[in-house]
Amino acid sequence: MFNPKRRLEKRSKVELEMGSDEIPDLTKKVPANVLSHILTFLPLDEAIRSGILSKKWKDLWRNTTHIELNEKKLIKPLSQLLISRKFVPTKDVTKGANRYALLVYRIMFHHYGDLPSFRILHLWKSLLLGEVQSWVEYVLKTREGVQKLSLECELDNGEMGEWFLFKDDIPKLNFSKGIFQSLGSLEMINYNINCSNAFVGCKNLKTLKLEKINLADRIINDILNNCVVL
Amino acid sequence: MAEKASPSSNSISLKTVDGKIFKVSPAIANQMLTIQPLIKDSDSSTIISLPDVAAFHLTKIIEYLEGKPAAAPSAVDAFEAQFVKDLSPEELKGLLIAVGYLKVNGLVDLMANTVAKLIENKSVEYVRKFFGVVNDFTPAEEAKCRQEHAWAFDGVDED
Repeated sequence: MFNPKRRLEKRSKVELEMGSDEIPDLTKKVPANVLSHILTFLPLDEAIRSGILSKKWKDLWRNTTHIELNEKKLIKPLSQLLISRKFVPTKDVTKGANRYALLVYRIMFHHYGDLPSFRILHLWKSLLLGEVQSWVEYVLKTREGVQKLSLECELDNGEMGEWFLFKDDIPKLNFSKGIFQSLGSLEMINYNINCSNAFVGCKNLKTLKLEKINLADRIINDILNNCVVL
Repeated sequence: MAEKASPSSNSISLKTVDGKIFKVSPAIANQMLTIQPLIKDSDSSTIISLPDVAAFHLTKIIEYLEGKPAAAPSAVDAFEAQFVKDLSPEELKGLLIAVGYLKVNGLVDLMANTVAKLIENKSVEYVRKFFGVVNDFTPAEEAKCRQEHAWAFDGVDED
């Protein structure tokens, strides 16, 4: 009879006999990568809070394979601050905006290991401050192996509606040359884009999902020419 | 390719921690990544022992692997929703251990997602109790952890 882990079996038998009155520490039996996997389904601030459960949990969120930055899902004080912030570009950036932008860098800095999947869901005001661009650039430049990137711009309360994409004073999404080249999958929702350069060298991009996008014909041609396996 | 060997000679025997023996087809067993390498070397007399997996959990795992629709994502979603619907939190936890140990294709994802829903928006104490986690921080260490990510605790109700 083949028994890969005899010792383990003994221990679990003991626990089985103990009955369920005394809850055994589940997390001793569940592999760390599965626990990290659970955290990917939680809002980011909640995943980070799990670090105070015990010493074992302290660093689990830092190894998650997927991070979603979602301004609306963050804890209340912060999300309210973000929703209500003024959007006079650059000169008068409110304290809250600054705090959040810095926070994103801190979070990314504390996360280690590979990050195959990354998603940003943000309010349109982040476009005015250029935050989306800089976060994406930061993540793609500091991490190897980002496979999947998803960006979505959210309008609050139907403000502007479909005209949003055609407003001149909303900056177009633009990235530096070749920034997307490691990606296998890219999704962009609700943007005015002007970034054919970013697609230079996209040899692996198999999935490109563009939804509610305003872009020139020339740009879509450039994208298709660069993405050879699309 | 498809040899019609008799099921008994071709099936894999798995023994659960509570002593029950299950015979499963290689196609099913191969989706449990942990035992995959053992299957190659096994013959009909081999019994693979599974620590951390009780008969109930193995039954559910086999039910999942056999029942999961191959095609449309919407059919998979409906099947998965039905699969977890009647599981109690205790059963879920046991299944999480079993699935995590066996590395069952697709089920790891489903279990992680389902467990996440149970602990979402819950207090630290609740989650500790849920997982049976013993807080091994000293008060000073715990305070330091909270300090490190103070923003994430700002304005959060303790219960």
